[in-house]
Amino acid sequence: MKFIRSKVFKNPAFVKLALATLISSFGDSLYALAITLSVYNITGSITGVAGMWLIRAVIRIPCQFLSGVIVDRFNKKKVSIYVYLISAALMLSIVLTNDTYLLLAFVVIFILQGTSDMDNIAQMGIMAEVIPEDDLTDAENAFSVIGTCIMLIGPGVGGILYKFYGTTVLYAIDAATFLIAAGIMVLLPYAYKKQEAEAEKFTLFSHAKKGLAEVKKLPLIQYTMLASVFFGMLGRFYEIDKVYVADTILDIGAEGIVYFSYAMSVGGLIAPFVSKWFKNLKMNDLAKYAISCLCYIASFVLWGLGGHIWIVILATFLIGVFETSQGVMTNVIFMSKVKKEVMGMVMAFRKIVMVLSAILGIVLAPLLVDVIGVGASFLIVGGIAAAVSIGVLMQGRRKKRIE
Amino acid sequence: MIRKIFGIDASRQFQGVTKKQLLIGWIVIVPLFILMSNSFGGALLIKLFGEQNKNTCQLVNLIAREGIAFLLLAVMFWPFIKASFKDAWKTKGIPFLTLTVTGYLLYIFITVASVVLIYVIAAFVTPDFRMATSANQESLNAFAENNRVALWIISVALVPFVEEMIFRVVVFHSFRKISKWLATPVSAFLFGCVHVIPELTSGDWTLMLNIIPYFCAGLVMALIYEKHKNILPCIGVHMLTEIIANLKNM
Repeated sequence: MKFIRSKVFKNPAFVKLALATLISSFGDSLYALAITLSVYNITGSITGVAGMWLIRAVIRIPCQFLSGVIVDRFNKKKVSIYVYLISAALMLSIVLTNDTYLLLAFVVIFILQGTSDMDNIAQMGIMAEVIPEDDLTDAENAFSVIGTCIMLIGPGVGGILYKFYGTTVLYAIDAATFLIAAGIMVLLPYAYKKQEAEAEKFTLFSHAKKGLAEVKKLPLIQYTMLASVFFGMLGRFYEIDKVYVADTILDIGAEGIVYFSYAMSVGGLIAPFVSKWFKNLKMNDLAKYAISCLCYIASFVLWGLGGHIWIVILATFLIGVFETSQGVMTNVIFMSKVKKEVMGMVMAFRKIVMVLSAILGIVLAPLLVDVIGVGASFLIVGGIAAAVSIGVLMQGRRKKRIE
Repeated sequence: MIRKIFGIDASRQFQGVTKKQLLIGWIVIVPLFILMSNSFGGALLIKLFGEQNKNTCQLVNLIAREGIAFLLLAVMFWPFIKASFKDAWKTKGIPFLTLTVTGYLLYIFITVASVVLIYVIAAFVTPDFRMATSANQESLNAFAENNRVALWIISVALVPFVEEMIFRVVVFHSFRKISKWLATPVSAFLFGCVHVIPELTSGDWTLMLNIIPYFCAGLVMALIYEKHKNILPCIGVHMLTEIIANLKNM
């Protein structure tokens, strides 16, 4: 928490950027709760929820392309303001439909995801320009703490508001937060410098293509990526099934997903300590990676099979704890096994793989729940993920023996 | 043309508002104003104290909201308010009075025109369409029956100042830094939205149409502020509107 005393908080541009992010993220957390409940209430099934997640995932690939181009070509501050205003208008349009028109809600979700991606890229661009390089790490830490705080506060406030007023008020407040964030962004001291058109070429896909060629040479990274695919799927399974688990299996009502968000946020707070503990364990990185993966998988399987509110909440807490550790250990493997000069390409390829795995998870989740149920679907995919994670360990040992 | 009619000096400039004031306006006053609206704050009080105390709850919420916002705005924007009065004093107040009266007439004209337009459009969809009274107006009518003095004080002394300071000074001023063509509709739209929150969340489009007169009122106020660059005529037009509405209620 050293960064709290950092000079980055004396930078007016950062303060305004952080405030706008804080307010809009709070609105986003209400939106995430409201849209899940709305779609589940309209459709009454997790297929509708899966559809919503599919829309959100599918839009991300073209958005990565478009957002980069738009943000680089135009004034980032103006892009951010207009994106906030458009988001506010879209959010109000959901309010106007009053939980009735699913198709319109899906169209709005589609556009909102795009605007949200664009906004994130614009804000990251602004941050890099208005904050001195030495303070960037502190600024990023502060943003991450803001995210965690919002994860803690948002679902709780959202749950209370939902109980009192229903979903429409959550959308209305989200629209207001977007407007307020736009107002704050207007006050941001930012001088736009037009860049040369040459520097604006989009490189994700070409990088990813080169990244694939590099990954082909690294069997250990192939295994790690394959494991990530299954983790991506498990993550989507959790997001899609949680409303069904709360409403049907645990019988605590659809709004019970608020408790899951809470448990996961508390787990997220403890995660840095667990990650540190993992790093300090006296064993090699591959063994640490395998253990963190197995803990993460066990949490998901426990969540799927739990069947009782306290077991499910405990499992959600553990998911929050081990998600970070597993992510950290994956990054450690990538950092140690991939050469620095090709890291960007491999990461670009990994980004695309992660999006595709999320899409796969979204498509499979409702099908598997229908055919084999929640617990079995987590057990099967978790089992495969565990086998692949152990495969990473074996592959590493084999390589060592050959060497 | 408008400048010529009202004798407004073309070189006029807005009274200074600092970024800090606007920032506090955005992160404190705007959220407070929205959260303490009848639909949220009032509804919460009704839930806590029961439907039988509905009128009292709404009145308490209204007094608290307008009172807190008035105090905060007056303290925070005191230099701005003082400068606005000084500016009015310099021009002997003549353009202000003319603008207030003509602004009100413009407001009436645009509001009536918008309502006529709504009826013409709605006639194609539902021939027996009747525009409903807004929930905001209905609650004011209910207050007028029991709390006439309180309503006069709140609606004539507090509401015009608070709403004009929020929507014209905080919202309009902020977005005007980007463009006046953005600031005008955004401030008017937000002004419209906070007046018809129950209608917007009702899901009934005939009720949602109630936003149009408020939106038009917001447009007129933004236009007056943009043209005269002083908040007093806007507060004047708003006061005149409230006085005439209250007289009509009597």
